[in-house]
Amino acid sequence: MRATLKPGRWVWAAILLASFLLAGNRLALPRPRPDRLRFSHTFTTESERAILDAAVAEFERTHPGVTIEQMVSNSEVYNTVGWRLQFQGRNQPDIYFHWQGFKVEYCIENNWAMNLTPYLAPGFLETFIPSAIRKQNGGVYFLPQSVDISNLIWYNQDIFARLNLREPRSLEEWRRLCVAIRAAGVLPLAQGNRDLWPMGNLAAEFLGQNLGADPSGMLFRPGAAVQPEQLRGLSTLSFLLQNHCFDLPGALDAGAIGSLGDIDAKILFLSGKSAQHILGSWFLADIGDARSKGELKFPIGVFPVPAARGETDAMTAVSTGFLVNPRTQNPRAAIEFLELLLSKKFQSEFAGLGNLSVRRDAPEFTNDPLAKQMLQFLAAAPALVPPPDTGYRPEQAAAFYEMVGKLLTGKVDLKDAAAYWSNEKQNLARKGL
Amino acid sequence: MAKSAAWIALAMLFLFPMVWMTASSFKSSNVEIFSHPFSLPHGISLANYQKAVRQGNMGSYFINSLWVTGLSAAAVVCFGAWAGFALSKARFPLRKLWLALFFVGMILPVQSYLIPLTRLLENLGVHDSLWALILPYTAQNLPVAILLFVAFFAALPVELEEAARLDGVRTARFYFSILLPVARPAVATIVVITCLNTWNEFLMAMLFIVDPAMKTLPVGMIAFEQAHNTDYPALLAGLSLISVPTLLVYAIFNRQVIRGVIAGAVK
Amino acid sequence: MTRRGQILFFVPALALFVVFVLIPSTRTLLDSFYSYQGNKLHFAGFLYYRYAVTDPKFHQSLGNNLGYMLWTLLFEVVTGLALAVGLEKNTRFNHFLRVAFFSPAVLSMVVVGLVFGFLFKDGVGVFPGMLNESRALVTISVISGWASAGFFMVIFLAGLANIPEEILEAARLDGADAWQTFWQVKLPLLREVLYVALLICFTGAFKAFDLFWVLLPNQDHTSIVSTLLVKEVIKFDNKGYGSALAVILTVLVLFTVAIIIGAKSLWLKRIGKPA
Repeated sequence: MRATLKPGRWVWAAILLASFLLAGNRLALPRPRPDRLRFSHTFTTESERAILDAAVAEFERTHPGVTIEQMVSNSEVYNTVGWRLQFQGRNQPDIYFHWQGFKVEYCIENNWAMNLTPYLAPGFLETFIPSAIRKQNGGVYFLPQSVDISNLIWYNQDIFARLNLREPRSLEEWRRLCVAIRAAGVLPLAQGNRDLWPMGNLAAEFLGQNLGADPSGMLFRPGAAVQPEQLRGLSTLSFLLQNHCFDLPGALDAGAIGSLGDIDAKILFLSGKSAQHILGSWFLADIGDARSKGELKFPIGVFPVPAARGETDAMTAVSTGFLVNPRTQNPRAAIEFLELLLSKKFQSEFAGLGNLSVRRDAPEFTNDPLAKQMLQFLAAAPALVPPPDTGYRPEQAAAFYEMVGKLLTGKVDLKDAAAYWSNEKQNLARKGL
Repeated sequence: MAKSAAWIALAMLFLFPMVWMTASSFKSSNVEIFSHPFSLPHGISLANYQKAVRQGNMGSYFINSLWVTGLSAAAVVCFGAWAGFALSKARFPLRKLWLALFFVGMILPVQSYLIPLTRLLENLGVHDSLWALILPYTAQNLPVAILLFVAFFAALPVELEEAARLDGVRTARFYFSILLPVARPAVATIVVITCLNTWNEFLMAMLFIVDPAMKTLPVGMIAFEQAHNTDYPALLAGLSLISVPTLLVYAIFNRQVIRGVIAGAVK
Repeated sequence: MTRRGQILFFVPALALFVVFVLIPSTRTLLDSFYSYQGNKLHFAGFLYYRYAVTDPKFHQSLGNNLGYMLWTLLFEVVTGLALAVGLEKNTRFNHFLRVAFFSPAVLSMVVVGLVFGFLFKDGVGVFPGMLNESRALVTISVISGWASAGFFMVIFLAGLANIPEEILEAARLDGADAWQTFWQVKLPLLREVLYVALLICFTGAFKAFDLFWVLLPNQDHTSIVSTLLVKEVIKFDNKGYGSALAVILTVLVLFTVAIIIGAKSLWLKRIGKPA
């Protein structure tokens, strides 16, 4: 008995063959190639993407045969899990974005970053301000692109004008200002702390201002217990919470700060529903986007988080930049691309979006008043404190963030906060950390 | 009469989220969606859908999902039917042991083997390619398939095989030309179950594939949400796009899907 | 069938299963006893298990899992049963309703999560605030119920269809009304199906991941063991603790299954039937 192939089977075979030819390349195993560089970053706004695309286009013009493939991730995901996951397997990025601090050190330790000094053009490193270049492990692994200020208070200038308010000079004045806004029936602050880092970073800045940069950093080291007096800086958060500065019936419910996402809070502010919004210097790119889409209906001003009388005016800031994977098959091309991206031409365009470049010639880059203001803040700040999620071990940072999150949703009182944090640190210690 | 009305109301409630999702995907801005949630859109524009497909790479994700689901289902049917056939014969050595093993494999949660699986896939060099999903998906859906095929083949009359042997048909030929066609209902069931499981799978797809060009639909949707997180209409358009195939397939193959569900559950 | 033929047929499936499921499962068990210090392995013994026993986050996750299990019992199984009983007759109207109620089950949990995430968003959503602390677990259970009640409805419908007409006829002749018929006649005969439904619901409660991860990624108060596990591994790079949690999760699932199967065979013994 011979089994005959019916015509139906031929049709199936033809379809299968066609699909293999058309789309079968997706089944191929990944392999790193010298002519294709993968560039992983978190620039998601359209204006930033436009600049990057221009840089890539120019690079490909001057380097025929080499293409650059961009892998864009959301910065929240990248910061928590993406930056580690991308190094699994054979398809690792050749060039990738990162925040200086614990994570860069981790990358260097795990051999995901390479020493760039042999490949850099002579004199390239001198184009940056000296404090931005760090020698780690005897070489330079990290090329800085910018500094991000983590906490700035952005405000709706129309509302301020209407309520006759001016930019506060001290923390006490700012507290009074928030209460006044609330009394006038306007939501003082639209904040979304669902992912814990927005208010966590603000809390870290308060700590730094109250205690000083180094003492506050010690709190994040494993082992040391936390004393209640050390958390006095957080009293502002309790004050704002108790005076309902984070909620307003009709706009945002009390306690919603714990479940609102930071993106949604941003949208609330940009649609005019709140007087202020605390976010980092990168907010300027979102403002630019909203303005170009015609969705922004009011002028926006900004001032840094004011210090209380007698405290140091610390500022939470983190340097961001790029590293190169030692597994890349074309290190020379990778570094030449970075030199192009970090050159005056493209950095001045980034500066127009509020990016605070660390090049020596940065001050000439922009005419935007807000961007100029931020460069001045940076220059004037006597102390820089890293935000916990990039400066310290993730689990230590997480313990702090959770404590602040619970403080803001009323789960923990300020007087118990120190004990709570110490308890969490002890827990981590038992885990072997 | 009131009873029917109550049932219809309940059905409307069930269908509301999907209807809302599609209706809102035609609206033009966030403001319109949230200030008038229950109203019909002002105008039907396909702009959001275009955005979802072009910027969101929907086509690419769709093809990836097709490959992964297709190959996994084919492998599961193929290997599962072979093993199911072998195990259905009572003389198979250690038969009860194998069956118990597959039962345990069926109820094991994914997280039990997730972490070492990552390392294994890396060592095999398939990490970040579609094979990183095809191989585990096949392995995970094999237990259900095998158990179902065993039940099915055990119910077949023994005369069938004996008659074939008397005719001098060798085992392989017997398998392909006689057995498989007879097993078509079981095959259909297995295909349905496997496709449902793999098309919507999220956890492993998220962890094993990082390259944006290789992502499958569920992961692609999340990536789109994160990258364009203020563009709700486009996001809803994307979600509608990926739900439509599954809903359509369900509507057409209604009976097979139900049968697959029942069979999977009863085993 | 020749012995060689048998083995040839069986080996490929077995090989795939062993390599990609069984071996990694045992590796997880081994991994849970080691901790990574930098890049080196340290034998840690039962450190992570002892930690889990005292970790308040783990207690909360476990509590959430159990709570989720009970709530989904109500919103998935009981609702499915109610729907099945209500739509038992084979009319065209009922058929249409059945299709409608089952349709959410084919959707990806990612889609479900994102859509309901919008509907329940704070400040801008249609029903804001449903995902706040106190209500989050119940809300997620309701969403799960919405997605899966149809699935259980289908299973119960199949079970109801298997009830012989004579028994129902006899009950009707005895003068039983619909309510009595349900409790005293149908329900006992649905025991088999009920066990299956319980099995799927309870193991599903432990295996659930997608919905929680998409809807409430960073909230500790609604973490369940599976999300805690994944967070430990990919956020904190703590493979040892993650593996220990995975082992605990597996044990819980196997334990639940064992209890249900044991209860079933106990019941069958009690009423005199062979197991």
